Amino acid sequence: MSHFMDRLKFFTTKREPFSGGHGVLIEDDRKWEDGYRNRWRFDKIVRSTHGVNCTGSCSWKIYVKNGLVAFETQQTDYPRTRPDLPNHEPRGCQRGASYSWYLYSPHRIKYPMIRSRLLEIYRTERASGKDPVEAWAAIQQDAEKRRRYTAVRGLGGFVRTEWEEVTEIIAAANIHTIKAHGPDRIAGFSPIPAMSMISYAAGARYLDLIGGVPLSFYDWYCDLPPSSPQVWGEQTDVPESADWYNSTYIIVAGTNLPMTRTPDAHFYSEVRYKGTKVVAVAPDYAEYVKFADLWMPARAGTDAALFMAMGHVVLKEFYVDRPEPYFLDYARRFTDLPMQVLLRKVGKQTYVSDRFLRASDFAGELGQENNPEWKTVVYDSRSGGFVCPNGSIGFRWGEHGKWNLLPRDAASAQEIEAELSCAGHHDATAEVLFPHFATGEKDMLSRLVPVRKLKLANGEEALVASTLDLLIAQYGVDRGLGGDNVASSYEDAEVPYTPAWQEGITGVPRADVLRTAREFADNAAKTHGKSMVIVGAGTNHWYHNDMNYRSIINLVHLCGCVGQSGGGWAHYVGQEALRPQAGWVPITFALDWYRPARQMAGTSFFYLHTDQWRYERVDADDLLTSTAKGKYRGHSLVDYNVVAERMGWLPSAPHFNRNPLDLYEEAAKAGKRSEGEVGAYVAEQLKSGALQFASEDPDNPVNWPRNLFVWRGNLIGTSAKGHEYFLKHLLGAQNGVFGDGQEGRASREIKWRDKAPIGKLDLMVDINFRLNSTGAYSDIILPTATWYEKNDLNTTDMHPFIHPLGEAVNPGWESRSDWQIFKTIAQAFSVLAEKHLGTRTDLLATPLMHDTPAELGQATEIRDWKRGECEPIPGKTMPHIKLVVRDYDNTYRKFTALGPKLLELGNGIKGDQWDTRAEYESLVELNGPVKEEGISKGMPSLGEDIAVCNAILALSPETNGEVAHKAWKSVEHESGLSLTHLCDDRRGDKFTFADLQVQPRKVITSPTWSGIMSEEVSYNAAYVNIHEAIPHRTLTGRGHFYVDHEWMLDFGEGFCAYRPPLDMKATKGVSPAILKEPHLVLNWLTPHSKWGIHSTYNDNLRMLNLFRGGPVVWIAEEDARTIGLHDNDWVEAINVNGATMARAVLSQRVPRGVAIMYHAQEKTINVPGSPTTGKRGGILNSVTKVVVKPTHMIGGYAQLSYGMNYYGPVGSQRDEHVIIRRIPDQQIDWLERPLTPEREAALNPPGVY
Amino acid sequence: MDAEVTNRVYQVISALLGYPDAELRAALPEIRDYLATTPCPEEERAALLDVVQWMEGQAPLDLESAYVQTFDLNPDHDLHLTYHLFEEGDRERGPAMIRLAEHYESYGLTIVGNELPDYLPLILEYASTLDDDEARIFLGDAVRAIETLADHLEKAASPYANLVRFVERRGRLAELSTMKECMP
Repeated sequence: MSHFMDRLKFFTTKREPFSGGHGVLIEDDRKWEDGYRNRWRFDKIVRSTHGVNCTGSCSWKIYVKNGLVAFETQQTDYPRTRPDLPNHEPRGCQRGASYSWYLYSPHRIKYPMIRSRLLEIYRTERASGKDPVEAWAAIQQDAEKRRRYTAVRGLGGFVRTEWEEVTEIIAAANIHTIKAHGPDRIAGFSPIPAMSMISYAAGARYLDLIGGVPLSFYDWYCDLPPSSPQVWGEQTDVPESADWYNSTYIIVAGTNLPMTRTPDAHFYSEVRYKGTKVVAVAPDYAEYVKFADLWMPARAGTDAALFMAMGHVVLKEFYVDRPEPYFLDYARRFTDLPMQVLLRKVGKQTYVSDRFLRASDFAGELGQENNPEWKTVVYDSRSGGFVCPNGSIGFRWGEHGKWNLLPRDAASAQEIEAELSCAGHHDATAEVLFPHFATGEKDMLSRLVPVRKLKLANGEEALVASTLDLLIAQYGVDRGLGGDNVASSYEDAEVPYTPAWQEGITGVPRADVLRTAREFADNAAKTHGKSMVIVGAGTNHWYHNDMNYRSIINLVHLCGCVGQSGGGWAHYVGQEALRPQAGWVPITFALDWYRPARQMAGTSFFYLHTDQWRYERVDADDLLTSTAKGKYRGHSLVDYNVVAERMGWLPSAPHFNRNPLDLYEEAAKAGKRSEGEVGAYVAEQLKSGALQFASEDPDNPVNWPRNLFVWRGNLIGTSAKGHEYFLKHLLGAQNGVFGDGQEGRASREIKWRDKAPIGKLDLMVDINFRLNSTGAYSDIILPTATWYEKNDLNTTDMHPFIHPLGEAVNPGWESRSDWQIFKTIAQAFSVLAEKHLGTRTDLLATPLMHDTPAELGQATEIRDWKRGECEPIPGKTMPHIKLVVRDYDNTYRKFTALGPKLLELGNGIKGDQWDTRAEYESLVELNGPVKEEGISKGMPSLGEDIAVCNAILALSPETNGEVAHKAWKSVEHESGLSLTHLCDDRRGDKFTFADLQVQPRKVITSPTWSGIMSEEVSYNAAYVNIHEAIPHRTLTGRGHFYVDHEWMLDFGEGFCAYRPPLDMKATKGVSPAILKEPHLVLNWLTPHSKWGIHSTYNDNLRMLNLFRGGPVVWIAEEDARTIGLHDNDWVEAINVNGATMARAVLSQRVPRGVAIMYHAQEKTINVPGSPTTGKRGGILNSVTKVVVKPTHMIGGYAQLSYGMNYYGPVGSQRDEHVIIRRIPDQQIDWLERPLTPEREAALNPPGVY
Repeated sequence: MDAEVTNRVYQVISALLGYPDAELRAALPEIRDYLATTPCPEEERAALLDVVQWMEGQAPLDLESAYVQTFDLNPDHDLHLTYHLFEEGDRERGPAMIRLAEHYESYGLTIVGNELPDYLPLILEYASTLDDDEARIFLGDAVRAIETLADHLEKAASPYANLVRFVERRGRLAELSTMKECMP
């Protein structure tokens, strides 16, 4: 249309051009713009972030109008970085940007829900006049009533209920359990607390107030690298992502930075623009590979062979041929390389390396009266004799001032120069045998080592070698001594650890390995340590993960990179940096009221209580070396766990085959009242056999865990390694376990029961904002606030800022924050406890903990009281026995107030202690005192979420400069060093929750962490060890190449060695009918996914639609071709553990021999039935099973001592193999049928009983 | 001005789509009586009475369980209509709900309790305060979402399917008549 009639012919409107005609002023009606203005006009914009599992901790703006969240956008107001560093913005990714979807999503849990069968039975019992606890007891005492609701877990059948009723049921169940079985039968699982730490604290605080057991998670996920405690005595401490930018040479192995560290990946990208070389190690063409200058496609699980070969090159060129002064100086001061190791004779002329030489081995103990058996020894080249240098763990406890890394003889305080190698001055050359594990090669390799002779205090003559001399031999480097199994040429493929040898194992060309090793070390020598290896799940999720990682740690140690800006080992999977830990711990574990707290190693707990041990196909003896002392030869893997519990190495839960409350009363009846007397009583009972550890008979109903809380997580749907075993034994639900579980008969420590338990739990409670598989299998589901509906705190190790989660809108529907939920439960509990429990004395068995004097357990030899080798002594040869008096009816009052133990005993962390009265008193002002009458009156209130945030912020050195000062003072006292300069420029800083809502704040340098918060350098782990001479919390006080505990040596892991992936034997025993048809046998890999954080966001259709909308498994095109498999065909992955269904994605980026199923697609979303199990087709963990490793159970031995999420067995899952077979579309069954009695009865797969 | 229920049939459907807790179950006889005097087509009345009868015939927990299974655990049956209008994760959904809340506000109605502005029983209660044409036009705006929901419920053979189908039809009529008016 021409608009002829609309146009003015004789007038025009005023138009004023400006900017040279590029702009023009017009006076048209501009009302239309209001549409856009209103679109951006909100009632408020609130700062929040995303909690649980995502390590991003990105700051977001949440737009709110009329009490509704419109959407979120990225915040861009991080504190500045220094001028030569790119800034942090914008942080955030596609997952965070779509989070607001969850608030109003159909997956949202809106009301408390309960299994209707359970509610019906409960209401009937209540109507008959029983009180809640009696009603619960009546249900549990009637097997059929119990079966009615437990057997339909996972099969729907929920109704809504009210908070009052549901918390009454939970409280009744807890109270009944405490009375009938013991508080240590109530467990709780919640993942990584750093993101939404108040929510984590809520459940753990409730549990520890009633004597329940929070389970560890980091080790269970296998995200914990046990190598880190083994080497540094540190759980995990890593560089912030900005420190990647400071590096000048980066190797990335097994961590998909752009995919899983999305907001941080820009540093990985930017650093290349200043010339940093990037090398990627990955079996598949993963996203991070495309950033790299070189891709080394090592076969899955062979990283140790690759990195050992690089170590071989570095040792030869930078230590033997042309010693690099920077490396030698670093090695001498900060590693155990100069420490002397005793050799043990195993043949006529052959030796193996034994334990470190100790001061106690010398007549006169090298002048050490305190803990001489815990002090290691070097040879001082200045004085020409053996001396005991400062800094080993013996100096940490029982004395002050010498626990430091100053190069001094502790006895004389004279400066020393520790000798790295005696080669050239050696007394003799010894033939030493080194354990070797490569498939098809000899199991012991003999090599020549230069040694010194010395006379020990007992009169024996001994041979000793430095760790470095042994290490050079272990790496197969010929240093001119000749002999077997050393190479003078890199081309020698016969000698393990040469670049040529690794080629046969990893498939990576030798030239690439050689060049990379040279460049890595050369760069480190020139920059003093700015070479970095970034690692993650792909390297760590293996059974022998500690070997993979130690091969890498050895490389960065040899090159002097650890603790240097832009250098070192950077582990990114599941790692947490709960920065204000010192304030968080007492609140979380209720240490402000009771000490100690119950805690449990997640992997041990699940291995025992989901009965995966009954199906153990891996023989522990096969893992021992032929020269092992092998005291426990013949023991199965689970037996090592039982042994470790009774020696106080690992925690136990339940503790004993007795209710701990009753056990105390028995002791009291026998006249034992004090902690010492009761401890002796328990020891005596154990020794006589009258009392047993629960783990000695885990299938006895007396020893079952009874109640389980899961909050903030998806234990069943994603984290249950051995998912089907969880379903079968712990929950009693429909399952896909094919094995008959007879392997467990081999156990020597466990009483065998023919009938395996079905459904150990009386009650499982899931607390979440979204309905996932965990909720589907629970008895009760409670709705929690989303991340935009609560006030909480987040920190991460990816950046140094502390963030709030903010309550942008009220919690939706009936939901409440986790803190308010557990507060409500505590209230219901207290009311019922008055009648049923009152005040009881609880008896705790706690392990020999790291960072306490108990870490000096058995120094040189293992003695087992059960075998009569020593007496059971609580806290030394068996767990501590501790008493805690719980006034159960005050649980609510205690939950909601900051307790007096902080005033009486002060606060501390990692062995440091300080008075915290001033902070406690400031919290009375800030949070307000509790006003209601009772034991908590006048104490700082913890009733509201913000009050809890403020309490943590006030008590922690990271967020309160005055506390930082006190904490560093404590380390000064221990170490004799001057350290408060690290924090005193910020002594006046104190953050409150309101400050964080204004802007994320950079935390303050604290001794909780090994890096510093500075204007000059980015955060990097071990910085204070290297730059301030603070020892690592290890036996030698230095970083370890050698770990000398008897079990480490028995299992051949004193030094790092390449160990091939473990044969899990899970594809044996698959039905012959399946094996007859075309199939593939593939290694089952489960890396993290692009469109979710574990299962979160994997239920968002938009995310699903970005890929194929349902479960997929990636397979190599060539593999697929061999069985006629086409892209997008349905496949079943199957082994004796169970089966799972997915569509096949065929791709060239996947190497042959592996199947990749990303973590985690869960069975509530588009998963059909498995034709083999007849059940819904599983999850990635339906085909996995946990196998525990004995070396992770060592305790009471310096850095090898238990700490929750610090050390303990890990739940690895990447060694697993599956059968993959095609399922034609017409056989796909979505199982959408109502529940019939027949279906209900079919708990197991067809043919399994 | 206080809003009044002028269009009773919507109030009945709204009530029947609510959670069948003790309060609703106790009110079933009242709903029956109320329905008897509610002006609406006989076909609708009969079908609504069928639903009431079905509810009365169910054991209380079975009825609640069926409701949870239908509406709380199945995204296809979400009673929040904007879910069916926008693709999942669409950032327009929040703003759409905000506009809806503003619409109620402009009629002097403020949402109390903990439901969203696009919750079908809430929308029906709003419709019950409008005169018939207004209600139909208002529902006509949401007719696609209501249709999707009705289709899903019908596919699942849910006893609730009819309730939603009636609402859809009422909205559909409004849509048709508007279209007719616009036709040349």
